[in-house]
Amino acid sequence: MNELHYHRPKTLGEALELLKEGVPLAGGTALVPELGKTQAVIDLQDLGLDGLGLKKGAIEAGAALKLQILIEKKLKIPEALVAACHLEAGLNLRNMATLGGTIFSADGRSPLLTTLLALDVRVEMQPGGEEISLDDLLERRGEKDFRSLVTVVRIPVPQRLAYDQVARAPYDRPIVCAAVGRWKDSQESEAVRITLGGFGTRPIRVQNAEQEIAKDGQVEKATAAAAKAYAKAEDAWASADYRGHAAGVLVRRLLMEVLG
Amino acid sequence: MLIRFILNGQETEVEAPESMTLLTLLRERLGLFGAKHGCETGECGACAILLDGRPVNSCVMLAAQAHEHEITTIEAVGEHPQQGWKSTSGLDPIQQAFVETGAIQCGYCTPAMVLAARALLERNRNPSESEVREAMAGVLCRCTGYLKPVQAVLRAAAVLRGEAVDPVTAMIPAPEVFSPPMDDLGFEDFGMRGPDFQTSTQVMPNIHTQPQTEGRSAVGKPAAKVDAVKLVQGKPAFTADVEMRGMLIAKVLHSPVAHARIKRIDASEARALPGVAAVLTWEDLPRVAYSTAGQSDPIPGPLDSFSLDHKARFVGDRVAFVAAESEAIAQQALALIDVEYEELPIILDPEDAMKDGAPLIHDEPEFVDFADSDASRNLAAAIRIDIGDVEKGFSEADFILEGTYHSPKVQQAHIEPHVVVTYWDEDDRLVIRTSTQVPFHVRRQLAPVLGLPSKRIRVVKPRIGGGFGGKQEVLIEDVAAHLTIATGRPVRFEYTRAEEFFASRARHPMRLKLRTGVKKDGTITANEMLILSDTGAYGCHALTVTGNTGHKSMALYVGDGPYRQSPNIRFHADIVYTNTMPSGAYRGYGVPQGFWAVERHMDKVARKVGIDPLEFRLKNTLRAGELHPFSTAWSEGREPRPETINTCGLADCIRRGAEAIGWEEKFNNPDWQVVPGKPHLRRGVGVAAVMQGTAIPYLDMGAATIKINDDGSFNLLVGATDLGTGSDTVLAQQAAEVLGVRVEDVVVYSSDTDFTPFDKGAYASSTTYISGWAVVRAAQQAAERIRARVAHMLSKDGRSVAAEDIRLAEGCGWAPDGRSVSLEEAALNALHHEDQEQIMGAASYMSPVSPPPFAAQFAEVTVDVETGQVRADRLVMAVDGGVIVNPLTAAGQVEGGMTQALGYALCEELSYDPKGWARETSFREYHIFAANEMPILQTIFVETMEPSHPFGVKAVAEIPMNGVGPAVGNAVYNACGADVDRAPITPERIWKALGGLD
Repeated sequence: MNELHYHRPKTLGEALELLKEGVPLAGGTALVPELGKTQAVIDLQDLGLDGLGLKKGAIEAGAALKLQILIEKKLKIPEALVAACHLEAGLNLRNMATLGGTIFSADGRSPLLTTLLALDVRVEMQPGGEEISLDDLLERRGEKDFRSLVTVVRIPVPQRLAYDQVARAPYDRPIVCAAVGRWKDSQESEAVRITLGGFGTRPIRVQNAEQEIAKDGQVEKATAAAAKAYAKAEDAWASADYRGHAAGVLVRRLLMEVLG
Repeated sequence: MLIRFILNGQETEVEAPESMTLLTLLRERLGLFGAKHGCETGECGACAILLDGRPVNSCVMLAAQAHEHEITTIEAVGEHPQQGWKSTSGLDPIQQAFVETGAIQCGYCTPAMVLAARALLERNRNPSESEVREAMAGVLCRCTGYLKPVQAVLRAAAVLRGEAVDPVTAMIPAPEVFSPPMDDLGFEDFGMRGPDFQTSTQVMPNIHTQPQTEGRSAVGKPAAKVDAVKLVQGKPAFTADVEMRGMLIAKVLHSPVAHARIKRIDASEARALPGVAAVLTWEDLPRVAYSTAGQSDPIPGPLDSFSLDHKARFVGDRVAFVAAESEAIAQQALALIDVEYEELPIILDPEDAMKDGAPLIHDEPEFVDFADSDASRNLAAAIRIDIGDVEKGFSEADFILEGTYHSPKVQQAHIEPHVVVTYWDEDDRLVIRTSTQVPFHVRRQLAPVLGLPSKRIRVVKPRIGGGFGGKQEVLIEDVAAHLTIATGRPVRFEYTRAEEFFASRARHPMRLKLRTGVKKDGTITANEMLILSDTGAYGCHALTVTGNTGHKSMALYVGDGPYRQSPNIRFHADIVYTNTMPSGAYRGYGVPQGFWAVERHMDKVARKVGIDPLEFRLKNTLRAGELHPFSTAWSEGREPRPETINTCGLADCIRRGAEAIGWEEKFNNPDWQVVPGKPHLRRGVGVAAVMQGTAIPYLDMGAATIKINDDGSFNLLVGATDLGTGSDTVLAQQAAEVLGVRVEDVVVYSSDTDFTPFDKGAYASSTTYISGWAVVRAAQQAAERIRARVAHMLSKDGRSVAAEDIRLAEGCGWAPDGRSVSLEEAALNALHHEDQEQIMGAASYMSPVSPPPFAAQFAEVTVDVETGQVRADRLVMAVDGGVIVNPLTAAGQVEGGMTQALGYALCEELSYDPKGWARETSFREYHIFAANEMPILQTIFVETMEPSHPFGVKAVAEIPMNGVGPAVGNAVYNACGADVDRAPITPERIWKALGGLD
């Protein structure tokens, strides 16, 4: 029988070396039920990756920071991000699940991932210290030879952030959800980021909708673009017609909220 | 690896495999059974412990992760307040509050809730209700509806702050500020989540009593549950909470295909795997056709199941059994069993089941028909009932309204999965320790399957972690029993949560066609229901569940005027096989499906004739003194016999419920229906009138024995199975009332087929009534002997007193002149001093009637008319359950039932992909309501004095399932005009009903 090997490295170097033979173990909430044929796990809890602070206008969080710690008001973080954490999991799981683990394991129906994507989150990877966007990471995380460790999650603090969802019950997983962040970009002009979730393996960014806002600030056009982005988002949980419609409604409301 | 941690204050070292979860380590290595297994994905939270003071779920945590941390389990919290000479600090204030407020039902999730509360109150002694709900939201409870646990935590917080708390019979002081849950989180504008405020913390329900109940000492009082102290400490009271030397772990190989013959099965590699004790396939077992439905003899359904068969009939059907030294080895062995399947065409849609050329799901020659079952047409059961002259009734109508309704396949989702331990005892008798609602049926029904006479089987039922009908099934006991027979060793078999979802039982999904004839004045002239019910791959409960659909939901509307004396009712049903997980018993037993359709339909009929829905219901529904219309047409038990309704508090329920929800101010009031500042939101209220039964007449039987002890206490032995409902407590209360003692002086034990008398089990809303009657009779026998003894003792001084003049109260026998003898003195006299005898009683009861409870269910909702999202804001249920024996436990039944029913209304549904694979296999997909998303719940008891029971009792347990769905559906219509006739009422269905993209 294959016996699982458990490692708890004390240094990042040790951890990176161990990545060759196993997978990172953050809170365990996603990995432990799926251990299956995993040969080895590398528990990140002793690496000091659970810091939380503000740096250059962004929240800088260690990847092993527990979701519940993130929202316990040590920092003033956007209320919609707090809400998304609450919707992501109940308290017991938030006491276990980490920011990095959620980024790696959550699917398209994740309120938190949808919100983080709207925040233009960037992650620092090791080895190498490369910083990439969450968008890029979501594309790469499923690759077979992906052997990097996310160590830091940088969450830009927007001027406004809003999140909303449609679900069968208040804390059910969303059928459709959306997040909109608004801030001044590097040229000090207004910009919004619009994301949709509730479907598929990952949430998506709706750049067409963002461009409509950037172009002439027309909410209705952005709404139509959001609806179109989910026009084929059909699965056992909802029809594409419904998802497209609801996506449009949510994006319209969120835009009114952040732009108003 | 060697794991070190501080466990309950003690430095602890333990060697454990690196793959072992913390839950397994605690339970199997350290013998700490307070953390429970409810799932494997961390969603239910029954396994919660405190890690460094925070609640975490130990099933999704490797034990190694806890290395060098501090762990607190329920075993470190409180202790029994009375331990003989040893002084104890007693229960923790949180535990005490849980006991007092009735916050414990099955008790399976209670340790986790207590720990979650402890973590909260250590940080915050003055939490708001919303903070309490948020803190409890990591623990799912299927019994309580969370109201009483929340009240318990608020009460404990007050105690910990040093405040005096009122007795539970009074109002508990409410926190000063009731804030919306989301306010605390800082996003007030989250308009569609959480009600604006939560309910009050009044523990006692609103109860309207009958004058005849005055003066009672035990019945009608909010006694603490007799098992509460045990459960709140997380004592090893459940089936899996045992250690046995040499115990094997069982696993089942489930079919990956929906319909197939097993052409070849080779288990040789699996058998050769070290650590495997046995592998059983269909080739190893005798071929005995039976039914898994736990029902009285003869089973009212086809015998169409085998422990193992050479055919698989749904994805999840059994293919082989394995017993091994560990779960990991058993899992590995499953993968080594080589099976060649010859796949067959499948039926997933019940509409296809009886079409020409449909594949036959049961073509086995051993199939045994019952009544109108016909395997050659995939028909598990059929019902044709016509009462009165239905066609004449329709011809007399001014309008005929038709409608088609669908009710979903939903799961019982008890937090304790199905679990069983089997072993041979020293007398070579097979002991089956199992989480079952029907221990006596398990013994009788498994005897032929195992090749053992009943007398060589002993079934022990410990505490049950919820059942709701799912454990009225002889579902997995045979697996462990066969493996114990094969190996000679103890075997434990416990379902995973995924197995619960794809390989157990569920509520029968139905298509219900309704046709109602009505006069312009609102008089119903005829009512017709045609059902297509899907029993899945096996016909367990097929006939009786669907029979009850009509028997209850179609009995309520008899019409008015002359139609009351001769209602015209048609009820036809076909119950068909499909290649899906079997349906079975689920709380309500067919009736929620019926009322989903009837009560949605009646709202439309009332609309058509322009009559207020409350008035329409009052005009047409059954009343006291009238014949139960189905009583002469169909019975679940024996031949039908006429039965008159003695008591019916429905009109009062409607009136009081309407008052509580503010019907007058809200219904069709456009000013109230809009939400200021939120033009996309609309509010609405809805109602449903419902009824149920109380036991199955001429069939259900319960029995009890009672004996006095030296100290004047009593042992009450009952076969009735308390599955968390509190039935042990209400039986003890009835005995205490007869014997004039305190409830705590009645020590209840249930149930063990060797030691307790027969009881048919916990189903059909029967225990308080049927088993209660048996307890009363047994107690009366004992009381008679006590009176004679006391009279004899008091007459010794020459002042003669007759036995019949002795009154039993306050633990004494009292003469009319005020002299008394304590029951302890009477017991010592009887057992030791003179003319010795064991004062005892033994009795049973079978009822000739099934007095229906009635209820009015009200719902208030808010609908987002742009997305179709709906939020339930308030549920009010006014119930006529006869005299309420225990207002706390009964209210808990109503609150928990409404909560389950709310899931059924809004979010619960089992579905299958085109190959028959279950879409929902965990609580992540199958959402059940958590503490932080509940509407306000309000229970009102409108008592009636049912003359067929000595204390006036009817049932409460199942009726809360019946009205929430249609009341919510009617409220949605009232809010926005969307008629959703398919449950659950999802956002997309509302959106489509509002026109969708049109």
